[in-house]
Amino acid sequence: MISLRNITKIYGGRAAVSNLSLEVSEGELCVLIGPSGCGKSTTLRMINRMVDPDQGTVLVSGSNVKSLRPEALRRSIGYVIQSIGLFPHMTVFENVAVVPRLLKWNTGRIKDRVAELLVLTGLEPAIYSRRYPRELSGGEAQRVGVARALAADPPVLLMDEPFGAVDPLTRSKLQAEFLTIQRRLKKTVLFVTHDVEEAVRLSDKIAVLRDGFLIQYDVPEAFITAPADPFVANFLGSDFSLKMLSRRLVKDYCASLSPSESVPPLPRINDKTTMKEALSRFVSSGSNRLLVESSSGAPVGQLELRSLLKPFRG
Amino acid sequence: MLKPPGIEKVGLTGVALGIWATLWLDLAMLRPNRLLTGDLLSARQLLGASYPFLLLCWLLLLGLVLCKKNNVLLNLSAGTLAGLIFIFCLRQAGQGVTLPAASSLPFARVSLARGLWVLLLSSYIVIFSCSRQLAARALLRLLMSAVVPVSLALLLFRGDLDGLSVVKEYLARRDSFLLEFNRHLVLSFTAVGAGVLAGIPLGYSVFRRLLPERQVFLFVNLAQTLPTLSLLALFMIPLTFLGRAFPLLGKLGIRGIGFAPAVIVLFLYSLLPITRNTLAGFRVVDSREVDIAGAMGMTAGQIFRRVELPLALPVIMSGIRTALTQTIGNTILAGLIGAGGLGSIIFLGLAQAAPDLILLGTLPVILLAWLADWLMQLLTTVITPEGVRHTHDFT
Repeated sequence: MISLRNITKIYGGRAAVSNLSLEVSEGELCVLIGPSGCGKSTTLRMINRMVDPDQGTVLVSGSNVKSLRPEALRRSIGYVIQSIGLFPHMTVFENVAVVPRLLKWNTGRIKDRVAELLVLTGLEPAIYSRRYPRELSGGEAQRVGVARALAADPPVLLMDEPFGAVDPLTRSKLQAEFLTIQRRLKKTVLFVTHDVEEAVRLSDKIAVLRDGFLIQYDVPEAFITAPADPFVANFLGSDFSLKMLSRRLVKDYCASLSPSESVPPLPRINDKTTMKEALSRFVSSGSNRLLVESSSGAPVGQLELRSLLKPFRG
Repeated sequence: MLKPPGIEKVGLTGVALGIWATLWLDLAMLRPNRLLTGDLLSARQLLGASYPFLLLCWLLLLGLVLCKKNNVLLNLSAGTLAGLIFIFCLRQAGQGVTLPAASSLPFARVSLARGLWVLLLSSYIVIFSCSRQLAARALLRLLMSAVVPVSLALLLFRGDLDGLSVVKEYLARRDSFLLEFNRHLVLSFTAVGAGVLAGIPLGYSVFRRLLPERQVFLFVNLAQTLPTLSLLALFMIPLTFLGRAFPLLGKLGIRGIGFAPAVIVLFLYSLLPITRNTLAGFRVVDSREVDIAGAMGMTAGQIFRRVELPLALPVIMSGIRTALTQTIGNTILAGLIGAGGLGSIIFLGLAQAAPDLILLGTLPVILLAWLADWLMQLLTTVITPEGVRHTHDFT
C-alpha cells in the first residue's frame, strides 16, 4: 500500500533520512519509532509530499507520488499531528468538514459523514458540532483531529505523535478507542511515536530508526527474540517483554472452569484486561492463580501464573 | 475574566464632576452678538423650571453608578443616562436665546461656557467606565457609545441648537463649510485608501519574506517620526519641480501646494499602522495550522482565503482603524498648504481670533474621527470569526 524505496533527504549537508526502504501492507499499522531527530517525522511527511525526497521513490497504492498533484494526493491521505492543529475560527463541524468540502461533496453528504465520524470517535454530534476548538479539552480536541483525518475515508492515515500532548490516562483511553476504530476500518496507518509502550500497544509492525537509517523493521515479537543490535535492545528497554504483555488479553490465556467445579475463592480479574495488568494483580495479591470474570461479574475461568511465560514468537 | 469590581471609582469621579458643574459652574454665555461678551448663565438660570429634574437625574445616575458593578443592564442604563444628561443640558443651552433676558437682543447667541465642557467630560468618563464593564458585549457597548452622537445629530437636524454661536457660524457660511467638510473627507479617505492598497501588500510581502523587514519598516517608521509639518515642507520642493518640468502632471494637480502633497504626506502617515498590523496579523496565525491546512490538501490560495486571512483580518482592520482616525485629525494640517479641509476653517478662526469659527472647524473633525472609529469597531466585531473573538480586545 505504502512503499518507500531507497529514499534519502538531506538538510544542510546532513542526511535526515538515508537510503530508507519500507513496505507497509494494506490494513497494517506500522509504527515508526526512534529518538528525537532520527528522521521519523521527515519520513512521514515524504509520503504526502509535505517534503520531497532528494533520492528514491515513494509509492502509495502503487502510484509514484511524484506523478500526482500534491493537493489531490493529500486529500486522499488522513493526517493527524501532535498539536492537533484544529482551525480556531472553525467549529468542530467545519473542522471535520474541511477535506469533504475541498472534494466538493454536497451538503447533505457532508452533514451525514461528520455526524457519523463524531459518533465513531465518541463525541455526541448534537453537543460538539457547534463548539469551537477553544471550548474542547485536550482529549476531545484530539478526537476531533482523528475524525477530521478520517473525514473523506482515506485509505491511508499518517499520524505524527497524535496522542503526545494529552495526559497519560486520556492517552491510554484514546489509544484503546483508536485500536477499536482501526480494527473496524482497517486503514493503512503510518504512526510516529517515541513512546515504546504506545508502539507495542498499537502496532502490527515496528520500524526502529536512528540517525536517518532504518535499523530494524519487524513484528513486535521479533524484537524480543532477535533485536538487530544493542542500540535497538537498549532503546526498547530492558522491560520490553513486560510491555509486550499489554498486547495479550487475559481471556485468550485463561483455562475454563468445568461446570461442576465450585467457584474457588481467588482474587478476581476482568477477562478484557491485558496480561500486563494481570501480572500486576498477581504481584499485588501474592496468589499464583486468579479468577477470571466477565464484565457482568460471572466467572469464566482461571488464570495460572505460568501462563505469563508463554513464549513470544517472532 | 474580569474580577468582579468594587464600587467604580472612575464612574464616581465622572458623576462628581457633573454635579459640581451643575451646582456651581456656568454652563453658557448669552451674548448680544458675535463680538461682544455677555452674561454667564448657571444651570439654575438656564434650566429654570426643569432644574430640579436635572438634579433628580444626577441622583439617579449616582445610584446607578454605585450599584452597577459589572451588571450589564445597569451599566447600559448608567452610560445612556450620562449621555442624555449632557444632551439635555446642551439642548437647554441651545434654547437659551428664548430666555426673557434675550428678548431685547435681536442678534442674541449662546456660547458654551466651561460648565458645559465639564459636563461633556463628566458624561464621557461615566460612559467610559460603563463600557469597560461591557467589554465582552461588543455590540451593546457600541450601541451605548452611539447615544450622544446620535442625539446630537437629531438636535442639530431639528434646529434645537440653532441658538448656539457655533451653529450660527455654520448657518452663516454653510456653503463654504460643506465644501471644506467634503474636501476633508476626500483628503482623508484618499490617503487611507491608498494606505490600505499599499500597506496590506507591503505587510504581506514582508510576512512572506519577499521584502526585507528591516528596510521596509525603516521606511514606514521614518515617515512617522518626522513631524507632519516638516514632511509637508519637504515635499513642496520636489513636487514644485515635477509640476513645472512636466506640465501634464501640473495639470493633474502635482504642485508644491494643494491636494497632491497633502495626500502624499497623509498617505505616508497611514502606511505604518496598516503595514505593521498586516504583518502582525499574519504572524498571529499559528504556523502549525497553516502546515496542517497544506497537509489536508488545501492549495496556497485556499490556505490564504480560508485560514490565514480570516485569522489575520481583525488585526489588519484595527490597523486601518488607527490609520483612519489618525489621518482625519492630521488632515487639519492640509489647510496650511492650500489643500482645504476643515483645517482651513480652524486657521481662519485663529487668524480672526474667532473662537466660534475655530470650534466650527474642530468639532466636526472630532465627530468624524469618532464616527470612523465607531464604524470600524462595528465592522471589525462583525467580521471577527466567533471562535477567536475572545482573543481580540477592540477597546
